Amino acid sequence: MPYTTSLNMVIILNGVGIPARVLPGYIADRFIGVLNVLILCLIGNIILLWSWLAVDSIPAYYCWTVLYGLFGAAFQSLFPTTIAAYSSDITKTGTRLGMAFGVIGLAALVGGPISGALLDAADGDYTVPIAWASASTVVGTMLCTTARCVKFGWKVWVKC
Amino acid sequence: MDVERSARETNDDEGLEEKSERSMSHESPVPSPVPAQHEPLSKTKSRPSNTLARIASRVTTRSIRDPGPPPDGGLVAWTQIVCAWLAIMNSWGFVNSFGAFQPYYESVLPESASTISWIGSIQACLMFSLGMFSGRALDRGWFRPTVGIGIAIQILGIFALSGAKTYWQFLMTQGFCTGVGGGIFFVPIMGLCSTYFSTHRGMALGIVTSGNSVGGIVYPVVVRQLLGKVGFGWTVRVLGFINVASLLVVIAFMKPRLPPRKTGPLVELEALKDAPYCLHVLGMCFLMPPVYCVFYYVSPRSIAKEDFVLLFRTEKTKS
Repeated sequence: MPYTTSLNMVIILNGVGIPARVLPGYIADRFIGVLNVLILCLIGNIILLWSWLAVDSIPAYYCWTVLYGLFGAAFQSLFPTTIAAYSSDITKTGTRLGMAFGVIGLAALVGGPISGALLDAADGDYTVPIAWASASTVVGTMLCTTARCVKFGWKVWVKC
Repeated sequence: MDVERSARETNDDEGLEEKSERSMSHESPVPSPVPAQHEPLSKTKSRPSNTLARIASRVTTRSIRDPGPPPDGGLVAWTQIVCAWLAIMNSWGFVNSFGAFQPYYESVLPESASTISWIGSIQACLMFSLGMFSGRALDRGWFRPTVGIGIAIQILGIFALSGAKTYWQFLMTQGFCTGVGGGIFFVPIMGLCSTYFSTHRGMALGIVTSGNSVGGIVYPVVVRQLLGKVGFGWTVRVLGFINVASLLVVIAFMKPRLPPRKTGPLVELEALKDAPYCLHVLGMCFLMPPVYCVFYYVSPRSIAKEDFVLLFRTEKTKS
């Protein structure tokens, strides 16, 4: 796939995000709550990231990009709301969001370079950075799920 | 109104300034006859009657009376949503399109993929982190100057990028300059939108964040169509003109609605004792890097899959 065609991937990844950014918020408000939607999205993310390893044809790559675009955008649109969900005092929501954004910004800073360094270390083999991304998502999902259960109880059907 | 009148009587120099404040308050969407409790604030601010203070009274929101509950719809409120949508498209859309630049930089620069992705990472990091400070400028009443400065820095960054040749130039222009600019203006703009809505706030902000995705389509499409034909410099300049046009609309039509209010502390140490909050933020720190891993490498990997990995390798050794 030449460079200009490969840009389609970036375009698709962002394009399918348009419905995926509006819909999860609606489902969260209407039915199961923002933290539950987040955890479902993250499980989808984990499955998709691991399955990236198995993608080896162009049609499969297009399908994978569409699916990841949906779940990745859902996560991106939900995460500010989920942080706000952990702040019970509304006057401090802004402060807590700001603090969280500062820390997450630093985390986002290492994302690209770590995957690039792993790619170089593996001599251009994408298996290593993809495995790292998937593993990191697993750890993050476990932490977020624990946080949700500590705050709102270990029952599955709690709207939160 | 009594406070205002007495203020005018005590200081005649302020006549002009009071008039300008009045005309501004008539422009506000819900003109309210209620004398606001923020009056003393405006009085103390306007005391030094020099040009600077006169300008400041026009650019800040100090003259706005408390307009009551949010309109939750209507032409003015939806105009803000359209403007914010453009602003998010121009800031986060540009960050999300870094995946389109990554393979190009890999082919023209001798640096490794990892070193190159610092450009996009620094841009994303600054976008997140600076909002912490610029969001407070909205609460303090400095909406227009903050957004104006942010937009100016971002556009400067894009046009400087069009002339960049070396890695450090790409890093300083696309990484730092557009990151700082976008980080300064996007949070106050998001914050302003939420002051116009109450029950429809979720949907309104959802629409605004979809600008993120549209930007992620527009920029790569422009890059794909133009890079081969007009070269990197003019491609980036076209992106710059897109931003100039849409951010001019943003600065022209966005209007703060509320008078300044007291802001909370920058850091709340109590939050560190809140275990679920800390666990959640820590979790997010593990979840965010993979997102950028995918956004930056989805395009390069698809090239590699087709054995075109050789293409970039050879170009890199040539240069």
